[in-house]
Amino acid sequence: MRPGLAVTLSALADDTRRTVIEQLARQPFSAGELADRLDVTPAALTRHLRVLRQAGLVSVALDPADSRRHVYSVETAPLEGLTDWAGQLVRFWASQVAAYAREARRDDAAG
Amino acid sequence: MPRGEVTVTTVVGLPVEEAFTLFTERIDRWWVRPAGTATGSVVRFEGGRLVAVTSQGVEVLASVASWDPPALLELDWSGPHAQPGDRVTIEFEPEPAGTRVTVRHHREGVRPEETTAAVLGLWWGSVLSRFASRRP
Repeated sequence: MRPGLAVTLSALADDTRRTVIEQLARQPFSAGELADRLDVTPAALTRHLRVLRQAGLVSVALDPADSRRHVYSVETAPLEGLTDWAGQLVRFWASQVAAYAREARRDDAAG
Repeated sequence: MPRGEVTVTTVVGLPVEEAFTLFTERIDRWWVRPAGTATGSVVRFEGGRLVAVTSQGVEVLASVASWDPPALLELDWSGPHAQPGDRVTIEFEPEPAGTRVTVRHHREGVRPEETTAAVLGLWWGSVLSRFASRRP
C-alpha cells in the first residue's frame, strides 16, 4: 500500500464525498453548484471539499471561461493503484466466465 | 489471517450436471488463453491438476483441492496473476433458468484496508470510465 492511501480511503468513506466525486467525474463544478446539486449547506460542502483536496482527490482552478469563478475537478492519480490486484483478477475471471457462458449458450442452442 | 475476495458470477441455461461438465471435462473448448500463449495449447484437468500443455511444456494453472460434482470445485491457483496461497472456488447452484456459476478468488493476507481498497477500486473504475468519456 502506498503512503497516503489511508488518507484517500478515509476521505472516500463518506457518502456525500463519494457523490461529490461522481458529480465531478462528469464535469467540473463550482462549490455553489455542487451544494445545490447535493442539497447540502455551503458550509458542509466546504468542509467536504477541504477533505477531498487534502487527499489529493480534487483540485480547484479558475474557470477558463469566467475568471471570477473557481471550479473543482477530479484528480485521478491517488486512486489509480487501487484497482491493481482486485481489478486484475476481476478482469481475468470475467473474461473466462464470459467465454464459458458463450460456450454454454452454444450447447443450449444445440441441445 | 484476513482474506480478500473477488467474485464473478453468471447464469447459464444448462442443468447443473452439464454446467459442471462444461467447466471441467470440456474446459479446452472455452478457456481464454492469455495473449502471448503458444498457439495450439491444450487446457485440461488431469492428474488432480489443471494444466495448459503447449509445445514448450506443461504449465500448471491449478491443483485441485476438492472435486465435488456437480456442486463445487476448489482449486489452489497457480495460473495467471497467482500469489502463494490463492484459492479459487467455483460453485454450481441450480436455478429455475439453469445454473448459477460463481467463481470466487480468495487471497490470503490481504489487509482489511486493502479489501476496502479493492471495493473502492471497482467503484473508482466506474468513475474513471465516466471521467474518460466526458467531453473536454
